Amino acid sequence: MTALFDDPVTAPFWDAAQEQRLIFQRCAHCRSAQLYPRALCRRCHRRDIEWEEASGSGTLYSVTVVHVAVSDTIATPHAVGIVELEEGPRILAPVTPIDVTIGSRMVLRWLLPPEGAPIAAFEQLETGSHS
Amino acid sequence: MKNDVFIVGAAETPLGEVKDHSEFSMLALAADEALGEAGLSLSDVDGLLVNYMGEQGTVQVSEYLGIAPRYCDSTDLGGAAFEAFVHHAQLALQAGECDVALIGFASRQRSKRQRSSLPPPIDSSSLTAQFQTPAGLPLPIGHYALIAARHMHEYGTTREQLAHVAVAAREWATRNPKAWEREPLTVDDVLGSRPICEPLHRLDCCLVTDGGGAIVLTRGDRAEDATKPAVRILGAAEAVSHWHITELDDLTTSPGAASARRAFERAGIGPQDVDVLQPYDSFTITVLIALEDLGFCKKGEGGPFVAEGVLAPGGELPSMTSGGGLSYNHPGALGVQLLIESVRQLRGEAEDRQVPDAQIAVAHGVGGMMSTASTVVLSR
Repeated sequence: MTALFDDPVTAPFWDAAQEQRLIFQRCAHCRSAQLYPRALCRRCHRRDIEWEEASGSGTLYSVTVVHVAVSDTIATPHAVGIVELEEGPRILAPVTPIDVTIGSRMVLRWLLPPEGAPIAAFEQLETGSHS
Repeated sequence: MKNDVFIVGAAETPLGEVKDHSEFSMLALAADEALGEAGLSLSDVDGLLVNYMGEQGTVQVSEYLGIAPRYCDSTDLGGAAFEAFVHHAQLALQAGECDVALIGFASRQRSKRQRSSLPPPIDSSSLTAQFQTPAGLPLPIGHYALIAARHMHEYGTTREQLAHVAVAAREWATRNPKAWEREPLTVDDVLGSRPICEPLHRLDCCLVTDGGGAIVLTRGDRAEDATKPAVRILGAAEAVSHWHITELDDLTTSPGAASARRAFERAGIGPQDVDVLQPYDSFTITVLIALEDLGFCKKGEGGPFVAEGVLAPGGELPSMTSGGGLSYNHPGALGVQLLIESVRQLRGEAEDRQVPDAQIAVAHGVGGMMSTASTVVLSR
């Protein structure tokens, strides 16, 4: 597998992403979860952290509809949200539909651009209830 | 007291669209003018604190000005750096590490068309490039939009309430001949402006102009030559929180809660004692959250609070009295100009926008993606 980024600490995350698996770190000591990989736990600062795979379910914590063009590959307007995974950590992601509201149940759908890294995007769960 | 620290000079650079100067020459003019107010000259400066003046900014600015400061600080706290510099300069002056400190900044971001909503990351393997850029969020506005959306969700804050912040800033700007935007503005104008990152629309956002300024600080024992009333530093503090928006646990609370608590503690006063406030108004939501975090109203009550018109001329809490970043000037980092306007209000030289008998002023810087905050409490 080709390395997507020159970052040895995050390499396991991107290896998993290329298999369309979303993984995160959990501290073996204090059990807190963190999404972007680090050398230590951001809560208790211990180093015994483990990888865990996310179910792909979460809740929309906040969302904005973006009306300015940001790249050639993303059509504008588009929605970007913070999804709180059911395991705890939050992820910034493209979200659909564009009128999705805070509190919606969300499910992971990988976007696979022709080049570069897979993007973890989230879609509103159709049967979802609002909290 | 002899060891107290005072602002003894304050001056803006040329503002608006600056075609006949560079950033360094703008800063030099402002520094010279501010030092003139202080009865001092560039050769007296032995402490230099600048941000965004290029790589190793204190070194480049020292060379340009022909000075050799023994105390240098380029701590990058974004737009909040300059209020933090007041804190750092205060400590350095009191410790005798320097006797005359110069804080400065200048930018030609408008003339140079430097503003970009999504600048490509310099390091293509940075954490930001890996975990934030691919989602397609323009910065910094995207972060503030997510913050505003969450505040609206949790507390029922409305776009109309946010619009009152922009309207208050414009009311002040109509009284400031140096303000970039001076036409009257209504809540409906703000609501009807084009969306950028919902819920934030064009008129919820600060200007893009050229500008900057300089501030001179010294101890009481060196303040005698000042030609204008010296302004005392009562308390100053800074705080930082997150860089990536996913790492800020509570989107509705900024690091300003911590910086303000510490600054007020040091000053020995509270928000009820403040006569005039200069909050960093990068976006309308930035002000709303600052008002809550500084203790002017309770968390979640910022919306109804601003809708009462408290920030506008004649209101209980005159704020953004220059017209702020929303209507007066925003050169990418407003922190120095928040201090300059505070000084002018406390000296009683703010002319048509003078807050009567202003004794206590607060300048509150916010930087990054609401990542940093610094609070300075000042008195006449």
